[in-house]
Amino acid sequence: MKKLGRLYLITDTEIQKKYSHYEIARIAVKAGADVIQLRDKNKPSGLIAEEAIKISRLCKKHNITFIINDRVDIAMVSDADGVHLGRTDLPIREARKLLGNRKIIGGTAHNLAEALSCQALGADYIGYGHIYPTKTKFKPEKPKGIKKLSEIVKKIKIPVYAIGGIGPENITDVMCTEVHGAAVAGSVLKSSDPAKTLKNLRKLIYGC
Amino acid sequence: MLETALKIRSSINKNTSLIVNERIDIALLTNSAGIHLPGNSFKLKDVIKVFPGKLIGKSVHSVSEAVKAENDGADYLLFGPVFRTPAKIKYGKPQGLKKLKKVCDNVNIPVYAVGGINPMRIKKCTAAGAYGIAGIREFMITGNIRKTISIYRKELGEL
Repeated sequence: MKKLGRLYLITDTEIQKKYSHYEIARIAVKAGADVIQLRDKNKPSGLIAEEAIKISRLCKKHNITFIINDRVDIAMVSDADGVHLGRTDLPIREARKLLGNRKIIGGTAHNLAEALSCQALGADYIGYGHIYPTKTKFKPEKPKGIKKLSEIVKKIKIPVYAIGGIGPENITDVMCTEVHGAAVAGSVLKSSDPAKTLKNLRKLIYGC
Repeated sequence: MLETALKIRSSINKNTSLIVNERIDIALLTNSAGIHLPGNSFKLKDVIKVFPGKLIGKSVHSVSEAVKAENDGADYLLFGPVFRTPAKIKYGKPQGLKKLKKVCDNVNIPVYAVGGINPMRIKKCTAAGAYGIAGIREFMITGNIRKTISIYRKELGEL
């Protein structure tokens, strides 16, 4: 079954050097992330796959969804639950041919047209952003803001995750748009206590 | 990368095998013959599960690596650099023909010699037990790939 909870954490070892992907995943499992995405565009494939295989096992054990950014091959080798495809990665249709209908495929969208296209091509969810200013990834465009996010959410039927600059200080505003969930990286990984920040985000999302 | 691979796939003839460097996804989508695993790539056992019935090649740099790769299920090996080659100078001295022979003597799968290969060196490699040769720069610098390949084929005893 395709399980897509609301709190989506991206492991990033570029914006911080303190934790490896696997260490982040361990923290995320304990602190209650619903989805973990491994994102690494620089390391040799063998090293990424080695961590992906370990994280995949960990996530299966704890019933957490594990997604690989961009690399369908690594998702296959590690038996991850799916992939997230950015605008320049493999087309969604091609990825679907390889992964079949039981795996999750997410797409990135920066506007309504891209979001509709992802949906039409059979994506299981969309990452839409960036909502707020962020330093995690270089962004030539202006942040979208909450209003545009609301518009997207109203028009898209599959789950949308808001992404970009989301942390404890603004996640309530984000969730008020009735967006399905939020994807976070910097606000958690660069905080002094990532587990605590994640737990806090979880409380704010699920309201308990 | 998918677009490039598709273009190559549709322009080569049926007797030529297209091998994609490590990208299983691209190899499957282009119905290529197989993949090649460079150093620092996936483990053979992890690839075999999701890539059945296709060729898997592996780069090795010692006898022990070669034997392990064969035991783990590699279909062929790339061993080198046999001779001095600009791209690999940073890794130190080339491996030489004696080591090439030792690798070939210790495995039963095809071994391609790579690194600094030129027409004069091909027979030395095959005499050491190499099944074939591989190269990048060697094919490019002459400016006439077709001619270079036919010279190489002749040296390999195939023409």
